[in-house]
Amino acid sequence: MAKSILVQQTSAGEPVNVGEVSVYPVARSYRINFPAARGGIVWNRPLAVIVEDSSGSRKIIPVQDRTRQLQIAFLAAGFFGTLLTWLIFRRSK
Amino acid sequence: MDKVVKGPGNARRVDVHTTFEDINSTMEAFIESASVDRVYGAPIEVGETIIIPAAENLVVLGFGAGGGYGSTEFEGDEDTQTAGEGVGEGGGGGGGGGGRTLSRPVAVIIASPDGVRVEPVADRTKVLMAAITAAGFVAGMFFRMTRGPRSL
Repeated sequence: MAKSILVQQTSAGEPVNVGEVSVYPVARSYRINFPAARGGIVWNRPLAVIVEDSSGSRKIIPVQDRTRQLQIAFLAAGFFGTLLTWLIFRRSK
Repeated sequence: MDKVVKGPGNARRVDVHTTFEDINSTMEAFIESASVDRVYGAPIEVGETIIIPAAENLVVLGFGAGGGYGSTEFEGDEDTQTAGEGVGEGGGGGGGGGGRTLSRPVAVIIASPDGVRVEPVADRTKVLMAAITAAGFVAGMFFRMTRGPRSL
């Protein structure tokens, strides 16, 4: 059977108990296999934590990557700022 | 690691099959690195509070190997290593590989009797680099557009 080139997997880790609350860490991994060559890329990132109390009710708290969000925000601002500068200052040919 | 077979004289042959088996086992270990254990660290207890660090990591790995061996008819004496007619031995092999692991802290999970919260960790250097890059592009476009026409 042919190997998939891109594999996405979400998995939960061992729970951590704090008092009457259990915390389940959840992570997502992306795996890229190079079919022709022997190699690949594995990218793991935290996704969320699931908090379960003694009554069994669960709450999902997402893990936000603030650095990545700010990077994307600045780079997007730079892209649109560059585009806007070009539009404002372009001269008719 | 490599199965080396002695040939006549000083000729040696490297068993590439064993090399590829080692590569495959390394690749299996690499594939298994896609795990939640690589993301969340061991919990740290501080009094009644537990702190769990969370990080993002990226692993890139790739390698290859190859080999070959050739020989011609040998009419000499292998034991005494005397040369005979048509003696020819050849062999070659090679391999290479590389990889890189990058890790970056993303957040810390703080679990206390008061509740559980996630505190994001912002890498100031990376954010500053992105801001400088963006500003550079805007400034570059600005100076380019406000520059007068070039004289021929």
